[in-house]
Amino acid sequence: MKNSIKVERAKKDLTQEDLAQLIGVSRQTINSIEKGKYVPSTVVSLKMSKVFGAPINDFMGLDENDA
Amino acid sequence: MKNLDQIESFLLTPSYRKWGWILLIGGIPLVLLVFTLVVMTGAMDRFSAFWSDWGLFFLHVPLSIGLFFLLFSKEKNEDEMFLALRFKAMMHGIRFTFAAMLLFPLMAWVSTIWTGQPYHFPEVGGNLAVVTLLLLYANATYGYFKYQLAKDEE
Repeated sequence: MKNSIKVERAKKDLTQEDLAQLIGVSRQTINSIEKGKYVPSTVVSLKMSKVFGAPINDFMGLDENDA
Repeated sequence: MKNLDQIESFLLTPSYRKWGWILLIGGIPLVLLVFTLVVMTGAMDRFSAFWSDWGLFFLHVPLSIGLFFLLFSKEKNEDEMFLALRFKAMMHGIRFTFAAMLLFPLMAWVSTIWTGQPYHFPEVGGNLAVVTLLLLYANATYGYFKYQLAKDEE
């Protein structure tokens, strides 16, 4: 999985801690998601989509390893 | 409603983590302290007999309860990632324990043969019973979850 959550977060001027609080997870989880070490559940992905005001596909997607 | 993989009601509150560390870190010094006192008071013979019967029990109880508390207490910010990591760690733990319980006695057995000591098959029954119980319960729970999934499909 590849993602541009860091970019979307910067656009909204949110810190990892801010985003974590908005979607109800820990800051460590946001960090792990951004670094591609953890793939979030659909619920968390949808919550991020709501915060960013963009569809999930805009900031998360499959990469060549997922093919 | 929570998904099956998000059930966390079996977890202890974060305050148990502190007790986990106390039992884990305190367990070993406690045994060392008792041992030192016994040596200083010259009660070694009595202690040796006591240790061979109860020593491992007293060492294992605080350590195992401490480790249990550490593994099963919630993080301060518990969420799906920590839940997933905990499950994955438990899977690795079960796999390692199963391998260790089978391999360690076997290695001891091979070692006795190698060194020309009397043929003696290692006692593995007691240890394996724990692993069997663990796997039995894990399978039963897994089966129950699958049953629930199948029931939902009807």
